[in-house]
Amino acid sequence: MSLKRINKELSDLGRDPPSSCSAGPVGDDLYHWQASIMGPPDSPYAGGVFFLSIHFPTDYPFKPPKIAFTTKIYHPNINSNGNICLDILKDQWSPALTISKVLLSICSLLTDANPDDPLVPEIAHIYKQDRSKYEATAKEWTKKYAV
Amino acid sequence: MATYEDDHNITLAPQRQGAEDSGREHQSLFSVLNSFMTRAPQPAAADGSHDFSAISGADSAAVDALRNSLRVLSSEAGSTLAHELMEQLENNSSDFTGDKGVSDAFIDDMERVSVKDLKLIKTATDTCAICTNDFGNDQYPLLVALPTCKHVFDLECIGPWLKFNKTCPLCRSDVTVKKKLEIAKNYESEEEEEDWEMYG
Repeated sequence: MSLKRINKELSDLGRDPPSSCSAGPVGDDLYHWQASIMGPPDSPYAGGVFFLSIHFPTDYPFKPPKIAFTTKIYHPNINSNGNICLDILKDQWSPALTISKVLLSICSLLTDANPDDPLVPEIAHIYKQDRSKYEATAKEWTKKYAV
Repeated sequence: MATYEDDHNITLAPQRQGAEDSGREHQSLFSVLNSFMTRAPQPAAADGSHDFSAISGADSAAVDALRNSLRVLSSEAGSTLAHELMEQLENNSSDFTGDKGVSDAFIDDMERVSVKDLKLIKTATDTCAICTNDFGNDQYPLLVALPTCKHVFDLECIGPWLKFNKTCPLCRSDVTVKKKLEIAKNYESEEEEEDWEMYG
């Protein structure tokens, strides 16, 4: 089941790729993919290209894929290991979700952070208290690590 | 005195050892499971979750034995429950009990849908959202509609999901809610019929 579904997603991604993301297997192992997300234009990540690693569990799609940023990013819901705090990657996972849909959700997380459920409380604090400082740092990190 | 093995020029010892090993594993699966059942509530009471990291070092061998037994069950007997338990063990997860899903009877009772009737159901799509394949592509399709939201899936796709979850993959509605209402309604209508018989 998992391999068939992963193959199907791969061919669907090739046929109808989402506008701001791409994804595909790293090598021969179809359970390990790499993805890239373009920083959304209306966010401090604009102009950056962010890479992510995707690991499919063997019982995918009944369990969520493990997705992490490999490019450093300054964001309240993404920590220094690249781990993403996103409900659909945890308890809100549904087998009807696809990598394409998850990547789009991560894109919207970049535009609209969720400081009330932070993974990095310090960044969330700055995001809430001093938005322009957060944006400046996020832009600086984007320039430094993602361009 | 020559042993049985010497007489027959064979070496039975390693085989006997192997048999003992597997026997011990079976025993430990139950005793280990038992110890989890009786001990798990203690850490659970503190923070509401079963945490396998709380199991002391002395039990780590037991955890290994459990893991091995589950692996055998999962790979040789194809037990999905064993697979699930194994994963919970690996993930140190909070929901070890795996009792969040629906019963087998619930899955068996779901409404079957034939491919030609799909267009009559307005919530039905052309593809199964879980395997993303067209329903029509399957030579012997076995489709079911969820009782609450009437979303249609392949039985072999929705079955494993519902064993550990009570929500529709498409709309997240609780699949068990409507079922209860239906039972209540059926009960009422039966009563009415009886009433009619009484007066008729």
